[in-house]
Amino acid sequence: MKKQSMFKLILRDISYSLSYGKFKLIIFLSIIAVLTIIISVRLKTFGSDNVGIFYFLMKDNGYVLQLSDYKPPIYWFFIQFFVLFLISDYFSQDISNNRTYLLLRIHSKGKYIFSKFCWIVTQTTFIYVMIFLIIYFFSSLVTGSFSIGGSEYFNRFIASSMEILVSPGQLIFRIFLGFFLTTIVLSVMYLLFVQFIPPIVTFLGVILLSGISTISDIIWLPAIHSMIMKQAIFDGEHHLTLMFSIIYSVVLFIFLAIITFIVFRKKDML
Amino acid sequence: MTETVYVKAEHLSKEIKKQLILKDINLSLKKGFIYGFRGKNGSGKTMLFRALCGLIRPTEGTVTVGGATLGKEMSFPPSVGVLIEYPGFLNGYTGFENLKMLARLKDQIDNERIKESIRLVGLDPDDKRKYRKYSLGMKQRLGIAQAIMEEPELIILDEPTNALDTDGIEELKKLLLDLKKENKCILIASHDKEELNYLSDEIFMMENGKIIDHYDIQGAK
Repeated sequence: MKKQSMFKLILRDISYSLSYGKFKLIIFLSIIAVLTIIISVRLKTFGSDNVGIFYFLMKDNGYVLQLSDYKPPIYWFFIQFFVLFLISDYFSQDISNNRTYLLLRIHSKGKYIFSKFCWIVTQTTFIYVMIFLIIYFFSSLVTGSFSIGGSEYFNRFIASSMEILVSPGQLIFRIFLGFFLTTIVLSVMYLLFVQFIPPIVTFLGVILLSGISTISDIIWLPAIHSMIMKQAIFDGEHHLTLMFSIIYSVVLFIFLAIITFIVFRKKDML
Repeated sequence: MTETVYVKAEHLSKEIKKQLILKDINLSLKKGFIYGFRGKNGSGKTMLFRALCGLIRPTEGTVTVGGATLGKEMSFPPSVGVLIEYPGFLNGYTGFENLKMLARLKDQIDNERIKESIRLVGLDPDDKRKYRKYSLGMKQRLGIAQAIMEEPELIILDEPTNALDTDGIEELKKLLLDLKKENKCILIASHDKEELNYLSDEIFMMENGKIIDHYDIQGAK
């Protein structure tokens, strides 16, 4: 099979998944839009701009000192879990219904699974770009400013709690990068375990692993890297830097992808 | 007709979770023939088909297609069309669009050939209805069309008459006999004894993962 065919397989994954999951994606993005509008209206009275809305919607609960203080980060959970649902739902569908027909056409298990890794990256990028655009558009619309700059609200409520000061643009970039890294790692983890475990159990397992990050401070947990409040810019004690999050998540993604590749090539297609 | 063996299984056995699901299967299948496989649910027909496609690896024994051993010289047969369970066609696409999406991967056939395959199974290639509007019988027909559209040398159909009405079954019989004349090696699994007897040159009876009997059909067709 030529390289061109590999490209076709990736393109097929992208177009098939968008067509297969478009209604779920639209529902998810609509909920994000509604949440953005509601939160924007609420925070506008405190002088918030669009950066404040991004921060409020995507931040986590930070480090938990006592379990009695635990407040679940509802919006963080919602975004994290729904994106994982969209990705794992497509995997389950494609593996159970299409795998046979694709493998017998492309003649390569390696290329089939490699296209899934590429799809994880492209699909995750696409979903987070869409989330960014929706939050940006609706929050800017409600607050009346499309500029991503500092505001009094940012200085008073966000910058004041930072240990290392970063600009509003950098803050948004860090939040999205964290979510992106976590999603690609958890997605490839799903793809690996779904080879052995039923899809729903695998999904719940990955969700549970992700949820543990909200009560734990173990930096090896994949989802902790999508928690901006646990990053060094907001927390001086645990030294969780962006660089560490990037390197760890990328290495973990590659490691899990290699294991998945090996397992899939040896596995029977029942 | 080519009389050389195209698909050969030798002492093929498969064990999954300590259970032997295929037991010492020996087959020699030629092009230009239709082979029927009959047996109850769980008798091993589908698993055998998966093994002949390279989708599962034998625990013991070998499968060769066109002289090359699966799992050693090649992973999958070079030219095979299958219908094993429903393909995951997209509800929002027409039949033609669904087949085109699959055909693009190999890029061997043009739109006209896709349309011809759809016509061959008794569907209208210009039908604008989405797949979600298809009846079960139409879905089955489209599944058969995807199996034959790339004109494969080896055609494997698991319960192809499922959900087909009487007309559909007659059209399928004619189609398979035409494909046989084109020197294809065709394997069909079915519960229906009469259909298999009508179509097949040789029938294999399966039970508990074993071929317990096989016989030539004389004077059929």
